[in-house]
Amino acid sequence: MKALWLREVQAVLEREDFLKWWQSLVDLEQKLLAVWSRHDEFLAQVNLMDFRAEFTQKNAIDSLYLAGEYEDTAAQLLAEASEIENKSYEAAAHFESQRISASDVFSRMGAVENNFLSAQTEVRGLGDSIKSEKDRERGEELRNLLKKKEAEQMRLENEFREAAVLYERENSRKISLWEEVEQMWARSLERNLGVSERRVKSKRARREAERLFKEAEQHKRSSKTLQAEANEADQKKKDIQQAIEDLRTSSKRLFGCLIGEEFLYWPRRENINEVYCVPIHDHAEDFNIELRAKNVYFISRQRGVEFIEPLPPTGEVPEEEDARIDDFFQRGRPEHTAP
Amino acid sequence: MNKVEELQKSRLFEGLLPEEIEMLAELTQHRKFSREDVVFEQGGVGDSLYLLVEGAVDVVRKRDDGAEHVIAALDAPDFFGEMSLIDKEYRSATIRAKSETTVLCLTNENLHSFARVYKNGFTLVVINIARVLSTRLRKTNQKLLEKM
Repeated sequence: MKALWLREVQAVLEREDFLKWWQSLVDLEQKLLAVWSRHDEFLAQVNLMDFRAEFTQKNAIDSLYLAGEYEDTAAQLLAEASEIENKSYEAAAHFESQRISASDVFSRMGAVENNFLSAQTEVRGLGDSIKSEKDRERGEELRNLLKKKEAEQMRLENEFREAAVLYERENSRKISLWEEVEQMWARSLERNLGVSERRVKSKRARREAERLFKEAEQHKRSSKTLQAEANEADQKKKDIQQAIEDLRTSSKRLFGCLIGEEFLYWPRRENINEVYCVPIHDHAEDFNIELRAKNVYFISRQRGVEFIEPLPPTGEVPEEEDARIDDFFQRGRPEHTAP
Repeated sequence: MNKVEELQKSRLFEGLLPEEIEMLAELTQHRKFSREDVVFEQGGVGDSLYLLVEGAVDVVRKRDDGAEHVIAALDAPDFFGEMSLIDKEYRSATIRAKSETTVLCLTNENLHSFARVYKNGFTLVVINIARVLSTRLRKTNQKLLEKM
């Protein structure tokens, strides 16, 4: 690679083969950009699909666990219902026994009541007899008998009251036992109904789990398809990168330049410490000046593209006569500033 | 509007030849700022001067107690940041955009490139800066006299 004069560099840049080469490079780079973006998009979709597959599978497993939990709860409820039902038989037996006991007390209370009412009638009859009796002796006899009967009536009345209290107690206990039986039946029924409900829920959760497993499989298949497309795009990307590399390498042979990532370089014949550089693309902000593609700039060998200088517009340093500075010194004071 | 036309509007480049303006156009870069964006901070190291192309900026000076004080407002085609180029001191004020603002930025290094190619052009730029600084100084002196 030899150093070139500026005009030689400019001549190279105007050659048809250079323009063709440069256009091919720009086209390939645009293709690369498109394929790169496509590849990135595929990779993003693969990741998204993998995540969806994983997430859906996790949901399917959760749903399966839920179905199991429903089944366990149903079994537990069923066991509880059976236990309560068994206890309810026992309570029903207690109730039956209490019902018999209460009936017995009731019968006895009825008998006592009858005796009491009979005694009451007898006392009333004796009272009437005493009032109508004229015989004094017989009257005394009747009064003694009345005293005995009144004592018996009082005893029977007390007995009746005690029997009534006992009946009340026994009957309350009977009612309470019945309520207990009914509560047990209600609890047992509630659990039995819960069993069927949980079983339905369990079936639903299993169906949902199956659906989610299928969906996860579908996502996995989609991910594989996308991965294949991403691989294809990646291969295309590599092919284009290789084509760009080949094209760049050919520039050395075709145009006698050095080629960097973003510039072509020719050592400057006018000054051995400087190098001509030609950007392959436009750059608005990345360098110390705004660069236009295919324009010639120059740089020092030491600083490289860290500091790029434009060519003077004429391409040469002007050496013409310039009276502007002399004019500045020779010009008089402006009118308005005169003291 | 292209950079050449933008530069030609400025007092800073009065008297320059078309090819000199053209080279300066190559050496300057557009920078865009949104409202309230800071172009540079008081106390920062200055290595560029800025030419207002569009929009307006406030020149803000921070006092010792930290309070900010707007000492001037500039709009196109004013320029700022030239003091640090001349005296190599730290920035004397903060410049904050008042609206959507576009400036042309000329770094010290790029100005040096220009100076190496166009010595007379560079001298004129320096004279133009000196003129502006001189005008400002006269105004300041006048204000001081009025207050005395």
